[in-house]
Amino acid sequence: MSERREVTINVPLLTRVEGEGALDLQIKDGQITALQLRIFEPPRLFEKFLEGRGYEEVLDIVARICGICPVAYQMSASHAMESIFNVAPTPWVREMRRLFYCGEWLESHALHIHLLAAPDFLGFNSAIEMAAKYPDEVRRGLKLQALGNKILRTLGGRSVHPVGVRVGGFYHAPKKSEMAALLTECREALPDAEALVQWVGALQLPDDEQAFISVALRHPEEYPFNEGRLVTSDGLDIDISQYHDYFRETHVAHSTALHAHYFPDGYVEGEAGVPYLVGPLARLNLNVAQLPRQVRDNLATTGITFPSRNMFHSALARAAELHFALLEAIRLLESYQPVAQPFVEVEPRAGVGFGCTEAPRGILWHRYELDDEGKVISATITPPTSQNQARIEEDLKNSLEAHGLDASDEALKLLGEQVIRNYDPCISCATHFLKLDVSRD
Amino acid sequence: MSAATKTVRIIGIGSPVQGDEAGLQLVERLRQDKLWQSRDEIEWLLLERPGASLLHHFSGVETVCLVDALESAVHKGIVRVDPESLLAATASFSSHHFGVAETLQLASTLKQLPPRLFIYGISSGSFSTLYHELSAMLLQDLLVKDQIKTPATMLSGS
Repeated sequence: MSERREVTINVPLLTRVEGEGALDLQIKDGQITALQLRIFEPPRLFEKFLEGRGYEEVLDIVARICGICPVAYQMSASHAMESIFNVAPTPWVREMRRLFYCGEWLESHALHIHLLAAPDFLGFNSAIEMAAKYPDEVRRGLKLQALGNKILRTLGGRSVHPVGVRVGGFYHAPKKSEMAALLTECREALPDAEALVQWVGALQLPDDEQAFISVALRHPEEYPFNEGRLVTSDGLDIDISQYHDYFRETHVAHSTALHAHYFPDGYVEGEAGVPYLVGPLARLNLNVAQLPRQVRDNLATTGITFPSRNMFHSALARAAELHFALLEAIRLLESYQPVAQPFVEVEPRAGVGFGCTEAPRGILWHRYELDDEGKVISATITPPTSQNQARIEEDLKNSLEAHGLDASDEALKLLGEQVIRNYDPCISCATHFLKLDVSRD
Repeated sequence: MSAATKTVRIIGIGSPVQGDEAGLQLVERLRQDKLWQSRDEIEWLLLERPGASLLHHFSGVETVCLVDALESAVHKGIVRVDPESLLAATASFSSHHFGVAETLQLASTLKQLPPRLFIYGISSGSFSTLYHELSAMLLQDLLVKDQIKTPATMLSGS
């Protein structure tokens, strides 16, 4: 019979995550009595910075929110502004925005799989330790990341905080020769992406079946990047403008990031919502049929099927999305033709607009109210990590209890960190990572 | 001179926000200086928060010079940082905080360090003073061709 300890465990600073946070855990009589993913990185107040700024400044400002996923911020904001100005992007702009997003998914997913998550599954403390035994795999990750960055530079001028995007499209159309060189590199990298899916599928991923609600965009004709309706695994299907009718962010005392919850029957003040999942696993669970045949066939050979309720299948979903992003980039580059005007002219006017696109970590929802000169009256930005926070806390409780709370503090701490890293949380975006405090009274 | 004949890469690292712009500004100023414009063998790079992708910029040249801000309560001006000290440092390993030390350790493990590596840390001081100190150090270091900073076992291809 196990001893009923009363224990407090504190992980004071989580590693291999984006930003600064901590995990506080209290165990009493063999039960978790308190569990908090405590995010203490200071609030960054971007929504307030945007007030009074012109629409033409917004894309460069929101790109500063994240060095890993700036494209997502630029894309959600672009769509929101364009809906207010009542303009639709040309087919060329639409395709280049998808290519731009391919670059971001490639660099972000390659980085997370190889440098942040894989050490957990292979028993290393860091990617540097892992690189000694798996140098080819780490080089593959760095190579795919570099390719993603190159796509970002080609369209955005630079890979971190790109500056090539404007409301209505892009500032410049790359030369055909530049895109032809990029196409060659993408084709050469395809065997790496295919092998990555096989490699992740063969990892000893923990068996971690859980009940959760997946939320993602869905588009009738393609795997979602920029456009689609918001759908959930329990049947909700809404326009992105209805997001606040079913999803709400609330402040919790232990976090500088807001927590988002889902209200399946519609938001009613005072009623409790439920946690939900956004990101690669949620996207794949809701959109697996939209993946190209090559990706579905490659996934099928791993023996792992989607939809999946194993949260650690997020790693495989991320690898499959990387394979998809590379194939999609090749498709878009093969038909590339430069245009004289790579944007649609816009005329500012007053109104309220919404943008929701699929950042590497999940849906990124924006709402802007502009005045008749196109200046921002108010802005609301709901990043994926805010949306996943309540789900992470729920997952931590399930996973730690399933593992057994009599395990050593060190084992609980390690598992807690692995569970959190599996979500690829971007705390800097959400502050909006990990210190573990476990308290056993 | 074509890019293929560049043998030295001077990289300014930083961010134009959050008070971390010194590395970018000093290298940009060097690039515009007539003294340095005549040095055709040099490729200039400004990298904003490059993270692990800094490693991609270690290949194809003999010498890499990194210029980055230094957090120090004791140093002033420009400080030559011994790469060995960073290779031995405790690293943090997150993608937002994958800094120069972490990148050097990864490059060392993967045997992708450049043959010659110089690191200049920017501590406190006026821009003018920092600029002249950095310029003088670079002139001195880049003229001393036999100053091998990287242990042979960590070189690419070894």
